[in-house]
Amino acid sequence: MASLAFSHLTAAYPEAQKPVLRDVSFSLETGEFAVLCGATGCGKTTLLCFAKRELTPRCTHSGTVSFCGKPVESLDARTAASQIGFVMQHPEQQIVTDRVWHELAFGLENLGTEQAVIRRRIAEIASYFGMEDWLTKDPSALSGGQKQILNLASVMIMQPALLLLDEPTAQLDPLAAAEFLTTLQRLNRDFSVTILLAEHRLGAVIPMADRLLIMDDGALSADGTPREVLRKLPEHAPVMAGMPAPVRLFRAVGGTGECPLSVSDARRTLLPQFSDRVRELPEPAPRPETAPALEYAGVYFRYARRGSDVLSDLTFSVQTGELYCLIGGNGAGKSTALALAAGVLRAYAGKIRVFGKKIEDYKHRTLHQECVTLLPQDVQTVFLKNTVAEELSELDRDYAQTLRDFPFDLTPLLPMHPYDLSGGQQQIAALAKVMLTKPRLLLLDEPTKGLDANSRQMLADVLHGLTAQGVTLLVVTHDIEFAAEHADRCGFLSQGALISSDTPRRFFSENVFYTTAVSRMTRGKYDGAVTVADAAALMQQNGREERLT
Amino acid sequence: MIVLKSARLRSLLRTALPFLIMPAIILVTALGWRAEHYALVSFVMVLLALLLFLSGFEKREIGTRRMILVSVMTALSVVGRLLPLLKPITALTVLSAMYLGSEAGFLVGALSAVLSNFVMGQGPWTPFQMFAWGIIGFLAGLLAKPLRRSRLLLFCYGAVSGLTYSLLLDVWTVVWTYGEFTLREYAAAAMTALPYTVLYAISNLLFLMLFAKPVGDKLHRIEVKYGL
Amino acid sequence: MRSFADMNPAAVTVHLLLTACITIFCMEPLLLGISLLCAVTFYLVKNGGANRGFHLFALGVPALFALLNPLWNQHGTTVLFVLNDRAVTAEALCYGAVTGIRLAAVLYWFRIFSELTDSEKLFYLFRFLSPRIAMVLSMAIRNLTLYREQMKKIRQSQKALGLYREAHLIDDIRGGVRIFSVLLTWALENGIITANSMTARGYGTGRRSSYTTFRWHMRDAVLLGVSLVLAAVCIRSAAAGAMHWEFYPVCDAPPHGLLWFAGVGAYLLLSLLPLIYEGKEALTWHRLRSRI
Repeated sequence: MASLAFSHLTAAYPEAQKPVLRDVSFSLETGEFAVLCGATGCGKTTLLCFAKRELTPRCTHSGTVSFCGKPVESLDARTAASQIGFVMQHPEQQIVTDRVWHELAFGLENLGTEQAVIRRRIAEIASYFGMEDWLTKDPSALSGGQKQILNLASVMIMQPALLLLDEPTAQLDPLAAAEFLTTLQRLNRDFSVTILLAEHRLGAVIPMADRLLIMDDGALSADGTPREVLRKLPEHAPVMAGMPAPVRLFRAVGGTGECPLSVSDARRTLLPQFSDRVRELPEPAPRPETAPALEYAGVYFRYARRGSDVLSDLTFSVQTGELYCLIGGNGAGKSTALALAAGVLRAYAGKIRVFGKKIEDYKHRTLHQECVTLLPQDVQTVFLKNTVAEELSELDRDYAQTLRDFPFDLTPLLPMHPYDLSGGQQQIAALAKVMLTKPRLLLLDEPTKGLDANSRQMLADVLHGLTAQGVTLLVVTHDIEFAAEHADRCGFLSQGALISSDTPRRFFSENVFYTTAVSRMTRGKYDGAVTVADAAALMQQNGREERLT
Repeated sequence: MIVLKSARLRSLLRTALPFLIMPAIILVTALGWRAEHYALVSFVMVLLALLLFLSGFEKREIGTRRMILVSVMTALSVVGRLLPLLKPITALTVLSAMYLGSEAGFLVGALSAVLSNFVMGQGPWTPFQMFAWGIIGFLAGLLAKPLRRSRLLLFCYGAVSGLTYSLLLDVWTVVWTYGEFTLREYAAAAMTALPYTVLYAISNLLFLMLFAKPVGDKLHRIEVKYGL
Repeated sequence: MRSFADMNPAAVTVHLLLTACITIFCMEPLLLGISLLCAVTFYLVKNGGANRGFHLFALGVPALFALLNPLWNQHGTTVLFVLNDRAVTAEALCYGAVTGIRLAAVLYWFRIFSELTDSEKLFYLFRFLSPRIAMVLSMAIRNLTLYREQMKKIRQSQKALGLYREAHLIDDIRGGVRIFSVLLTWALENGIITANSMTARGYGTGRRSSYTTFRWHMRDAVLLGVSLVLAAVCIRSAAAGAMHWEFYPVCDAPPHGLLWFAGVGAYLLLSLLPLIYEGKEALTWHRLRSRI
């Protein structure tokens, strides 16, 4: 019997002109691992919420959603709560209580489970998820990845047959995201939990999925196994930009045969189809040298006197008008480096110069007046008014004039509440707000976190627009694909020091482990191909290998 | 029918009890009932009222979202104590009560007292503080409609409740230091604490003036957006 | 043998409340002395010399009070000297000293209570009152840590925008107001995610059970029983007036009869209990270690 079945579901929010879901029909068998993707705002979350009775949106709707053959509305309240699990995007806000063990117990308490049984389940699940050491901790002490695992465990403890996940890895760094997905796959295999996962970071997800559902503007536009769907998917479909690099490359060069889903697939089936007479693209003209906008010279920093150095001997510079991406693992000191340049923290040794002037010499906040601004990682820390327009006029009454060159049309956002915007829109609204201080050097901390491929592209366009106006950008990011595609130069930070710094092409082709999927795919065959566009251009120049055609 | 009546009566009793306690304490003092047991009597009475009131919540219907908002407002008022010169507990208690109801107001006040005292120091004054802030919240909830309508009334209520809070705690000071309550000593204690009382009332009022609108707007938005 | 702090929080709380309450309601200098001594010793055993600020407060304020009371208070008959036309009496001095000791002792007992009670134990205690309020409390504590973190982030980001200033008091308040407004919006908007996460896990679907990691053992029952019996003896003795000193117009001690001995003795045991537990635990450990 189908674990979850949608049948001709159409739904509309009370004051909306068009339906949010249009005639959605599909069914998942027990134990299936299905991925649901689609651009932000296409109705993924609404669809998931229809399967979770407690969260059913207040929409007018027709059609049915059934769980194990029964309509979801007719399920007994406790069955509905325990049998259908739901994990959301934000790791922090889903946690209800102040102890890990209590968080695990929470669901079972709600079902009225006995003490002894709860004790046993907690012990079991802690050992399954390897979280025995955390049990007595305060969840705030856990890392983002651990918090999300805790959220998963506290849903799994109720032994659900169906697990719905709404972008659970969007707020995690790549390592934590991979760990979360591996855990999910293990649950799927060990307990045959049916999984419906809405996601836009598809690189790691697609290879493990049995089913791929694609949503487009409220309707299911494709449904099938990933290979099947991706073979048929139109090349300019909005979701294409978010697909794994092998898939995008396959489609860009019009590969034949099976669509590769992973790097190893692509190396095996796609690359041999093309010859390698031309191994390298011509080096693009180097960016003309400009005066440095920001210089770090032998900078040391630590948070406590007896602590260890977060930055040690950090030395590099960012040139005026360039987009510089600083990448590196967790705890490498990336955000700290930004905070120092923003004047929020002070180095205990070394010099930081902003436009040639020592940072200490900017007196009375002149540093923040038409000079340096930091867009924080959590952009919600910037908003305090009821509409975007109020947010902007708070800083500058004449914001329309100041932002006339802003490379994005803000008009549709102006009357909206900042918290009603999508992640990408929030990022852009916050960016617009910080641009009102007219910075010449803009520091951005993880601007692409949680954004889908289209919002990412939108943000990248805005950033390029800004550099064209002469604004210097220093971007700290985990998103190496973003750095490879958009940076003028990249720097790799590790243990508080800059290890290497170069143009993305040279930088990523010289890296072995910390590099883009395309670089790993084409290694040995082509040189210096780091983005899908690079590889596609090379492959098209070379043409197909005669032997195969 | 009888069951319903008695249930109503019980709920009425639970609601009314805190209001009976304060006059009762004053009455007992007036009748001069064994002065040396005065502290004991007032302590036990306050504790009882608090226990009864709090345990009454178990039977009441407060939705999950309201509960969340109570915990949010409580945490906010405790965190707000870190702000310079602003004393947010009274003001936020009043505002919560206005938008979330009397029970929520009582809870925000009482729980903020316990939690903030884990930072500021627990003492025998904790139940008194819980009680004082709880009552301020409860009354604000009863007056929710006029308070929501008139800003001026809200500020008056805020200033008065700030004063009341200090004066109620002065009762505590007298009872615990002298072991009995006499008007002469109360007046003396209130006089010594006067600068503090005035400062408290002012910073409380200041907080209310600064945050009445934003908090109101934001709670209202939440009410509308999520249908409380 | 378990240390006093590791016993069931309900038993510990009842014991500490009884000890503190009896301290408050007895005007018997010997009993108050015992109470203060035991409380200070236990606190020192648990915390060492840390927290000097608290010691200063808990001993300083009562001492000040003891010194000021005679200047304030005109009761009493034995005039020691006259200051500014006000008679300073021995009775008022004694009364001040005794109330000072009482205040200090109570402050120490409550301090011990808050040191021994972490959020987990507080949650357990509130469960007896109402599991639902315990839940709200647990959520509030969770939010508290969350908001402190968020407040730090907000301060940083507002600083980096040049919007948070610390130049002078007015600026300071303005900056504080900004930060609090941002936090307020954030907290309210994100609270709804928590609400969803709760209902999604079946909150409000019916009768809840309530899980706790604390269990009730025989040893907890013993602690509770002993505390109750000792307190009952004290209260019986106090109710009969056997432990009540009068200070005005002259210091007047009650006769040292059987009731007095019983009351003071029971109280001595009661306030020594935490130290006894602590000592026995230390001894057990010592013995175990020497055997290894």
